[in-house]
Amino acid sequence: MLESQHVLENKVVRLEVFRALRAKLAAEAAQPAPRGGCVPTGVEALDVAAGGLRRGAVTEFSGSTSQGSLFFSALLETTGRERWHMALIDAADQFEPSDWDATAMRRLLWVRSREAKKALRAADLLLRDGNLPLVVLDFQGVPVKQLRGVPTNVWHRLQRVVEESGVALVVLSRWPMVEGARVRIEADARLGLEAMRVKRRDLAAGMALRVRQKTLEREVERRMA
Amino acid sequence: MFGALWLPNFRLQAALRWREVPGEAALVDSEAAKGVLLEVNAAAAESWVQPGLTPAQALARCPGLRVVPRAPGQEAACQALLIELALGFSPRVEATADGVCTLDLSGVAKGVCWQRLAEEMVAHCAAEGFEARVGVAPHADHAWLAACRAEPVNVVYDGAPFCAALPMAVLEPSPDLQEILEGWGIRTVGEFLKLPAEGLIERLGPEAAALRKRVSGRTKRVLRLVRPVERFVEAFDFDYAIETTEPLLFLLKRFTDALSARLRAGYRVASSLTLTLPVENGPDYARTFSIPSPTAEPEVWFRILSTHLEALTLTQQPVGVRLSVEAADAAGRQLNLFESALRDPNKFGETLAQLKALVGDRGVGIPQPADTHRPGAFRMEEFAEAEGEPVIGRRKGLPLRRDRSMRRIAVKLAQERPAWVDTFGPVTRSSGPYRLSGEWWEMRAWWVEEWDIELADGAMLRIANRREGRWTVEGTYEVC
Repeated sequence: MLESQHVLENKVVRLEVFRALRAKLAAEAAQPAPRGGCVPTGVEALDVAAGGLRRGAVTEFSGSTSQGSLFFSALLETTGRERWHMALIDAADQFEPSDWDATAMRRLLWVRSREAKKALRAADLLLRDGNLPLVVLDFQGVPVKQLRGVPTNVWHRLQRVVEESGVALVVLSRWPMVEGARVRIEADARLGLEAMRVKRRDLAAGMALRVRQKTLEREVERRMA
Repeated sequence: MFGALWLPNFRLQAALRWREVPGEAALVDSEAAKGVLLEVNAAAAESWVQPGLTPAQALARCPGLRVVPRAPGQEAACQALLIELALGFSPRVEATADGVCTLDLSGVAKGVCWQRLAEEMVAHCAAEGFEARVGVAPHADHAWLAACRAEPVNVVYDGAPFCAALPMAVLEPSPDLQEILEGWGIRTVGEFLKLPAEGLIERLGPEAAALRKRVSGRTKRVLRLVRPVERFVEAFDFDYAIETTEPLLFLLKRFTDALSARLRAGYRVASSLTLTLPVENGPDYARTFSIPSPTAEPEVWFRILSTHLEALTLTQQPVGVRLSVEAADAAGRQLNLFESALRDPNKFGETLAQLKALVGDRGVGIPQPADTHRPGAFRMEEFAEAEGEPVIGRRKGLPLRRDRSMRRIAVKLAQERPAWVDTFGPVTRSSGPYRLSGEWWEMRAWWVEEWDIELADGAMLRIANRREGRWTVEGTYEVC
């Protein structure tokens, strides 16, 4: 009788320890990550609220193509300002070099592909390498038929790779498709022809974003304008 | 003093480099119409195999004889290595002939033991797999004659008595001159030098004058110096065309180890590697790999090469392999305070090689605008770490997503502006035309009229009229 009571007490204590540990981890994960663990995006609202893009995590930016291009523009500008290098894996071969500043592109490694599977393989290589702190995988122009052929377990595998290498991976997509993305950024706004006369930097700063961060307990959702 | 570093049977030694041939071996000129032996090694000579025999005759005398063809690539690589070895003993070296280097040893420290120095040269050559002879003498030409009589080292302090005892054959006179001299009873160099100079030249011509000048030692010959090598080479010519990469990888592993040791000996590092694969018919395949962070680590070199070979497909099978290494000083790099360099540039170099194997050479790099205003033109540069802060934030409008398929569309105009686009629908707003043209001074002149259009569903495109009525989709800003 005494022995069974002792075992029960032990179980309760262990359960309480686990609960406390889980609560502590959840609290830590819910807080904005420290600056050293994040890559700034150049979108002020996002950087202030979430600290930027989390290193060692997959971030999915889904929304309209114009918003995806502006988000990439902000990332490229930040890369130049921070004097890093970044990679763009262009899964649909749509990047137009003449539309960007030549000096900004000096810090951009462009990987051209017309196949989603090759783009994923290229991402895997760059993430395992770990030399570039930021890798952008642009799937916004990839045909739906090719996207359907991407197995979902790929994203979990890439998540494990980035956890080890500490690289921030951003996937640009038209709609949410990355299984288990730690951070989801959504931007659905559409821009008209009048936007062609506005500075690109101002367009990026004015993006309306919705950010959802996955923690151990729940998803934290923030809206930023 | 001068030294002569000589590799006897140089062409045979070069052909046998990287091959394990322990016994009798002979070199045959396979490209000559009458394939006769050119050079034989000492073991073969003991079996009565001589230069001039046909391979069949030689094999009849010595069944275990290994007959190897000439390997020009290896000869060039060995000559470069010989010069490199010689430069390790003196900065003033002349590449006198294939397999012969003459060293000006006048700068060597006083009191040095010439015998020991010459033995050290032989030992260095032996470490590279060469059998060498070294002659040291006060005159450059006497040093060469001393090397011819060396076993394997010959130090001559007084050139005149040494040369006097040599047979005339060592000077290699022409057969006609040799016959005349023999007729006169002149058999040694000493007897030749005793002949009156003026009468000799008058009767036997300039050849005799040159021979006399060479052995008299009265004039000091100026060496034609070679510059220290900046490119280290190893090569191997296969007996037959190879079909798999295994032999290549096996040799490249040995090459990288050997070249790395040579670079390290001079405190140098490699800044680039050039792999050349000669094929039977057609131009050689050559590829240069720049090493992001110059290093002398053979493992790094080998990984770069093996990654490339894994994805390489050649239309013809290679018959040889050459690896040359561009040497550079291991200079440190001082980064700007705010500059963040790559953590491991060499690992990144390997990743780039893997990416190139995956998406092709033109699929990876740093995009840069081309020297033209032609829409869609760009050039791809090799990745290199950028320095300094870029000029950014000047661009206006949304970035274009280029459609490189040159998709044709039908466009209806209203008041000379696009009003309706086939498969997309009516155009609600448009901006343009933006007219561009160029290269009209050449045959490939181009002209294009671009429009940015907004469609009823909110999509934004750039369309272009390339010729009258030939409309294409240039790209998209917004897709619905």
